[in-house]
Amino acid sequence: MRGSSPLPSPPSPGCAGRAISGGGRPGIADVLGAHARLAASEAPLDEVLAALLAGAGAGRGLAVDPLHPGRPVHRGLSPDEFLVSRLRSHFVETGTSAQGLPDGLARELLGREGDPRVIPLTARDETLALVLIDRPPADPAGFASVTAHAASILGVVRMSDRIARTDFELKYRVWELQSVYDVGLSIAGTLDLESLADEILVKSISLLNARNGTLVVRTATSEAGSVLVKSFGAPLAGAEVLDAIPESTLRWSRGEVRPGFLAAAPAETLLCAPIVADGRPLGLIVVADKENRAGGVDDFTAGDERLLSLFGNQAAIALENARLHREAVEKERMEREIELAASIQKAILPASLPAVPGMVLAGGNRPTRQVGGDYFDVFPLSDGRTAFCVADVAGKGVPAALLVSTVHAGLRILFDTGLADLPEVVGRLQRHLLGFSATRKFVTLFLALFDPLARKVRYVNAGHNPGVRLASGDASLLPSGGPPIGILPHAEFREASVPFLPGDTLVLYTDGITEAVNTSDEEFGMDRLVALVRESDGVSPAMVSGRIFEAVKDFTRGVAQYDDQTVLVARAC
Amino acid sequence: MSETLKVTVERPDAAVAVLRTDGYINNAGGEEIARQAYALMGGGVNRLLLDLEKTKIVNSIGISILIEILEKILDSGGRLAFCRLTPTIEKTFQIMGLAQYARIFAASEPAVAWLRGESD
Repeated sequence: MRGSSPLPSPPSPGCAGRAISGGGRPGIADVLGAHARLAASEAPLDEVLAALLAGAGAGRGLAVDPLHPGRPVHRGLSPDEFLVSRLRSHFVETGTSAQGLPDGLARELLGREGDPRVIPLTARDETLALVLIDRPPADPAGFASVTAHAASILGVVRMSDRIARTDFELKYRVWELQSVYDVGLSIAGTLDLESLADEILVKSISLLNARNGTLVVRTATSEAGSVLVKSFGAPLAGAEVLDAIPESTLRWSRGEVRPGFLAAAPAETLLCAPIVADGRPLGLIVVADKENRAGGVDDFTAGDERLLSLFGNQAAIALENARLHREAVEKERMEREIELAASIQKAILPASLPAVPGMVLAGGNRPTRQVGGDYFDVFPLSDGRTAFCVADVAGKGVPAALLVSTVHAGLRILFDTGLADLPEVVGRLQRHLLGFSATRKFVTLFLALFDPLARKVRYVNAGHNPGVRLASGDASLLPSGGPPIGILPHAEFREASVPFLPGDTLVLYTDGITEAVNTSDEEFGMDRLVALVRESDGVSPAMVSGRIFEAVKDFTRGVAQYDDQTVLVARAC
Repeated sequence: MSETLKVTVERPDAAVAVLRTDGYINNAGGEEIARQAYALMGGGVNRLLLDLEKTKIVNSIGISILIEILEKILDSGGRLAFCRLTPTIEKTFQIMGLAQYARIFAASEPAVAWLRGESD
C-alpha cells in the first residue's frame, strides 16, 4: 500500500478557498474508505507520514509511535542508531504522552537542514504519534484537516490493535485457566507421577513463554534415592536442589546473583517455585528465559510467579495423592498379611495342652498386632517321655509364621519317628532350615525332654532365653548351650540335664515377656520373672502362667508391644 | 522432544505444501514456520498443511505467529490446515481462535484433500 496513500488527498495550497467552501475537503466516503484501507495496512504509521509530508508539501520527515519509540518510520532521512536511542530515551523520560521533541533532537534528526515542525497526533489526550517534518505546511488549514483525519485513523488503528490484543489476552487467560483445570483433572485421574510431572512442566513452560524448564521432586520421602527429575530443553537443575528448596517463589533478572543451586543454570532470567506438601518441601519447578516477540528475553512478572506457584501446588497435590495411595495400598497389604499370619499361627499353636505322665503343663501365647514368630508345643512320646519346647523365629508376619510352621512340622515328624536324641533333633532341624533360601531364617529354641522314670529333664537351649527352674524354693537358670538354629552350619548344640522332682517347676518363655517395656521404656526383665517363679510354690502351672501374663500387662500399662509373649510352665508331679 | 524446532517441507502437488514440525513452537519455532510458509506463498503456494505430530509444546508467541501466517494465507485466498495435534495443542488452538479459520484434522490425507478442495 505504500506509495498510494489511503488518506484523503489534502487540498492543494492553491485551493484554500474551495477547501473552506467544502469543494476540496474529503467526503465521508473518502474518509471511510481511507479508514478501511489504513486499518488493513501493515504500516499505518508510514502511510500517515507519507500523507502528512504530502499535505505539508514537505519532502523529509519521521513519525514515531510513543509505544514503540525505538521503531520510527522515516522518509528522506536516515537516522543512525544513536539518534534513535536518543529518541527512545526522550520518550522514556517524558512518557508516552509526549507532545513534542527537543528542538536540538528534531534538528539533528533532520540533519540540521530545514525548519523542523513536530506535529502531535492525539486522540482523547493520548499521543498516537509524533510526526516530524522538515518545513512548515504551506496550507496550515488544509494541513490541520489532514492531521485531524490522520489522528482519527491512527486512533481507529490503535483501538483495533487494543481490541485484538485484549481479545488475545482474554483467550490466553481462558487457556491458562483451562490448563490449570486440565492438570487438576489429570491429578484426579492418574497416579502416574512421571506423566503428571511432564504435563505440569510442559504447561508451565508453555504458559509462561519460557524457553526451558526443570522439575525436581522427591517421590518417596522415606527413600533417599527416589527423586524424579524432568527437564525440557537444557536442564536447569538436578537432584542437588532438594537440599536447598526455597520457601517461596523466587525470580531473577539478567545479571542478578543467584543462589548456588541455580548459579550454573544456563539462562538469563529465571523463575522457580517450591513444591510443598503438608509443610514438607518435596521439590521445585524452575523455568527460564521468558521470550518476547522481538526474539529477546524478558523478566518474569509477579503474575508469572502466581501461575508457577499454582502449578507447584498442583504438583504437590499430585505427589501427596500418590503418597496417600501408596500408603493405603501398603496398609491394606499389611493387614491382609497380618490376618494370614495370624490364621497360620493360630492353626499351629496348641489350643490345649495334653495330659502327660508325671508332669502338668500350662501355657499360652499373647500375639502382638504385628504377629510374630513365637511357638510352643508339647510332644508326648510313645515310651512315656514328653518333649516340650518354646521357640522364637526371626522376623514378623507371614514369613515368620511360615518358618514357625516349618519348625513345627520338623519337630513333629522327628519325634513321630521315635527320635529322642535332642542334639540330633536340633541338628536335623538346623540342616533343614539351612536348606531354605529365605534370608532371615534363624530360630531360637528351648527344647526339653522329660523322663518321668528318671525324674530328669534333658534340654537343648539353642540361643533361647534361659529357662527358669524352681526346685525346693531355689530358682536357677538354664542358659543357652549353642547359637540359634539356622545361622552357623557347623554349630553344635549341647544337651544338659537337671533333676525334675515332684513339685519342681520349669518356666519357658520368649523375649516378649522379659523385654516387654513400660511407659518409661523400662524392660520387664529377668528379675521380675524369676521373682514371680519363686512365688509359684504351690500354685498351679495354669495360675503361674496367668500371673506372668498379668504381671507383664500391669507393668506395660497399655504400651503397645513389639514382640509376641509366650509362656510354658511345666510342674513335675 | 526438542527445544529447537525443525521444519521439513513436502509437496504432494504443485498447489499444496505440507510442513512437518518437530519441536517447540515458540518465537524461534514460529519464525521458522513463518519463513518457510512465506517462501512457499511467495512461490504461489497458499494451501498449507502444518503437521504437528512431533510438536508437543506451543506458547502464546508461537500461536500469535501462527495467527499471522493464517491471516496472510486467508488474505491471499488460500487455506491453512493442521493435523496430528496433541489433545492439549488442539484444545489450545480451539481456545485461541486458530480453529475458527483453519481446519484441524486427525490425519494428513483428509487435510490434503480439503486443501485441494476435494472435500468440505
